[in-house]
Amino acid sequence: MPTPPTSHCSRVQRAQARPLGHVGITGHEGTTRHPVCLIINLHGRSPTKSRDLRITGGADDGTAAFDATSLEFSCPMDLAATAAWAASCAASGVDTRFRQPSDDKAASYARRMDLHQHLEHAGVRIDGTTRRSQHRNNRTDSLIEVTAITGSADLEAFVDRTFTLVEKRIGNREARANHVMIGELLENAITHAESPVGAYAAAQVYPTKKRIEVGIADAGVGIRAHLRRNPSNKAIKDDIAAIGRAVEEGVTGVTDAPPGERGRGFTNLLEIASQHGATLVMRSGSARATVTARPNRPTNTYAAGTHAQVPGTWASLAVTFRHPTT
Amino acid sequence: MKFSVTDKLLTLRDDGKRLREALEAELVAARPGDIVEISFHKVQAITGSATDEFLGKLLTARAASDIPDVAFVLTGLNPDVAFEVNLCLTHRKAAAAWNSGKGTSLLGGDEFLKATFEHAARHGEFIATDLAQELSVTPQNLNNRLKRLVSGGALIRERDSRANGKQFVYRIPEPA
Repeated sequence: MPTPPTSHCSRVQRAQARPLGHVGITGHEGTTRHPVCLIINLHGRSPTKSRDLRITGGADDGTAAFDATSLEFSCPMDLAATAAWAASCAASGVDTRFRQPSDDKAASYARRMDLHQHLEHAGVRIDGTTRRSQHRNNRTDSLIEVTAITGSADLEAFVDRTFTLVEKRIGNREARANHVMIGELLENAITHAESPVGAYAAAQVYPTKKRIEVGIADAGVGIRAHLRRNPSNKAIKDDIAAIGRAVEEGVTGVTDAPPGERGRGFTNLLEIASQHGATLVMRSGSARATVTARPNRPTNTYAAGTHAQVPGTWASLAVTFRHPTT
Repeated sequence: MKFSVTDKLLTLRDDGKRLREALEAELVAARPGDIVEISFHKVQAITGSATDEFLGKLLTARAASDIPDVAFVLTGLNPDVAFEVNLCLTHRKAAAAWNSGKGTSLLGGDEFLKATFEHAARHGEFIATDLAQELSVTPQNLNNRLKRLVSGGALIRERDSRANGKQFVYRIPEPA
């Protein structure tokens, strides 16, 4: 069996997020109060992965706007996070809108990934005209559309589809490895997030590169609030510390287990990830972390504060599979 | 007794808990010394969390005698499921016998337990003194290792009727 990596490098940059006054979104610990006027700027390429994700105050008209007009390319986490946050806003009674991408390809992809369908189902208004070129185009079977995961049936369907997709497009061993990794992220999203609208997930496979990217997002309590449920984590004061600690072995918000028994989800994920080559990007609150795992190298974690403050926990896992050595 | 896991994919801790509770319910009727085969033939993949909730807690309960003193042998594990089980049990300091069809080895444990089990598996059935010489360890050291394997359900220990019950004979658990 492969020898797991024995070291882990971690850097935590303590840049403080600049709260945006009334548009800050975290309320009392363990709850998520949603703002009544803000604009989430989904600009450029993979905006939710970017440390420059911008959330600005809008007109004081009691709305939340997800502005994708200048979106050029969306990754699965962009789609999952937009669905989760927008659904959560709408469920809280906020007048929530989604401004469609102007770029035809970006708009078409979002439609193909069923983002519009989920937003409309959640009561989010779609702004912008849908041009003929932006209509949902059927493509080869290399993606999993945005999926709402509210219970075990949804989860089972998602993991089954993902397994089948990866097995068909890349290989059986890779499908098994992928299941183990995304399973740990899904466990966190379903079990720890405490999100009233559940979680959302999406995936994109690149068969010729033997690569998959999965995005899983919830708009729940976030990592800091979850970890601080455990008294042993009371020293975690901010989102940067929380997100940096979350990937460490043995750190857990679970309180009904003996010490040392829990907190291995990310460790398990990274054990497999390091056999291939993977990048995990996570956002929670005002922090963002990037974890890179490569064969025969220490896992590297970089956590930093961001100006944007987001609800819940968002995760993007991109894996490039190597041929199994066992 | 055979317990077959029929899920293709095991994802959440709750999946593992469901399996453990189902198996524990069947173990109520088991007698000390019974061999329980846990078959994973249909399982393609299992997460670490599900493994821990299923096998990790099951074998921890076995070592604490919270469930009947049965022996367990795992079968039907593909290499990736075996990897997860090994990882989980190693963390828990638990161990399980794995019959891969090509022989029986130990998942979990530590290097000493693995070496002990490897020698034991070559014998199939043995007494402690046989193994102590092979492993070049003291009888006390070996007895400690064997005790750990027995208490975790990875090895069967019985009174040796050929020696008037004055010593123990050990056996590797094999599926029926």
